[in-house]
Amino acid sequence: MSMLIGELASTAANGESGIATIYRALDELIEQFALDDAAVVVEESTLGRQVFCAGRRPLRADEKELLGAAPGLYTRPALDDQRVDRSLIQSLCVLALRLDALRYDAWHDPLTGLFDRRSFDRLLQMAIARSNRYGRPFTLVLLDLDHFKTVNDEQGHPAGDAVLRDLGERFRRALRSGDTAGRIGGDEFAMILPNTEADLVPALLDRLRRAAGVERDCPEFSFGVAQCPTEASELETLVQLADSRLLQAKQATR
Amino acid sequence: MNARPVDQRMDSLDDLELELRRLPGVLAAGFDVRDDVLHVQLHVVEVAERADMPIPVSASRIAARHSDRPVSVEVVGWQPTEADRPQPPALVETAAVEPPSANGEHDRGRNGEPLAQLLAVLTLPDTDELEVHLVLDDERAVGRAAADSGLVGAVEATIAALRALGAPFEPRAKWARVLGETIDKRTVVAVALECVDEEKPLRYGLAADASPIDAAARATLDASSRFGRVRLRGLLPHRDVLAAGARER
Repeated sequence: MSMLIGELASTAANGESGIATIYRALDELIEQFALDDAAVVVEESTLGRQVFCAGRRPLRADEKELLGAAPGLYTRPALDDQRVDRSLIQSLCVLALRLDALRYDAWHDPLTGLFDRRSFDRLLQMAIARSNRYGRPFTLVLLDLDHFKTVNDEQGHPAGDAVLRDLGERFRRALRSGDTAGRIGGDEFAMILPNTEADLVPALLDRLRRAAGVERDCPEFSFGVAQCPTEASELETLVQLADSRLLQAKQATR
Repeated sequence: MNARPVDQRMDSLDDLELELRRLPGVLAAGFDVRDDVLHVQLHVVEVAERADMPIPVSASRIAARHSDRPVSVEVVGWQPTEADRPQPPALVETAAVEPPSANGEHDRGRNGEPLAQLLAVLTLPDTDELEVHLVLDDERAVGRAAADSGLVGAVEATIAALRALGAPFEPRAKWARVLGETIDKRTVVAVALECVDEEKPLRYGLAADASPIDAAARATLDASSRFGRVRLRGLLPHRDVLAAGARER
């Protein structure tokens, strides 16, 4: 029991994933008390009621009752041990989940669901460090919608928000798993495309353009691209390079 | 029925699961890998307000974005009935168990060996001190600290009492924080102790009690039990190794 509580405390202190901690806690219970199975039902303010089964396994048909069960710890066989403080475990699982929800909100742009400026900068810094350490190239793409102001001016801000939201979703779908996309300003986006050499970039940009649906209802946009480490291996110079190319592309559209 | 960990990068799966659980109405998410395909099962309660995109579509896109392997998504719709709500699950049983008693009657180690138990945490306005009273078998010890040190004072007083009981380590309070409340309104406190002699110098403890300083004292005991687990749990019950300190009988 003590180890379980220590795991949760460690999560709170070290910023580990709350969901992983909940599963570790259930696994710990199973191991410590030789249980067949364990599940916890928690009620968290952002995510509502959530059911977690040990091992992340799918629910079986005969366990449907768990979905309607009151918040609590459920075990098979029944756990009858005085060392188990159910109320404390329950509260800590809620806390772990809340930490995850808060962390998600802190890292993501609420409109598009992409990373926000601050978290993108952090991820870019990490990508540069990885690239410098292991010599793996990546491409930084800065992207700016052309004449987006007219969408807002002529159709209103809700319409502009809808365009950005839709674009965020399209970018997410078009990117490969492992690619990172962020909304770093009003109508500015940025992407980190790992292991991408120069010759692959045009095809990726074309895919992004098609995904964005530029031939239909979405505004055109301009790109600025820079490669790490071949063109720059420091954050500032890499961003400056991509930004200056973006500016050139923008000027060409005017 | 034993838990089977899913063979997948856990970091990525944590992110995927969190994003799936954020979809409206999602109550549970399960994962399985068969034939190199990631199977995702979502249980979704019927909600009046839906996102602009159907859950299966959103879930498939999210899953595909997070997984390098092919993905299949099963969405199980579920409408709770009144009969479902108040009943605990029939197949996964629960037992109502009281939390450990305040006098530490059930504070025992994994193998049933007795651990130091918290008797009381007292604040003394006259001396502006805080006292933590511990007992181990019939040995009783008191640790003191300045009351205005707050939670950290409770941690320091608990450490002093443990030392008086002969605990063979000398941790210092790194930090102590109130994390929130339990559903029965007890305060949850986490503490971190540092012991430079240990391989892992930081140990965390967590506990809930009626007041923050009581919870801090309990959390300190919890964290202490992680330092040299064998030494502490093995040696403390034997009086012959207990150091003479500020003991009271």
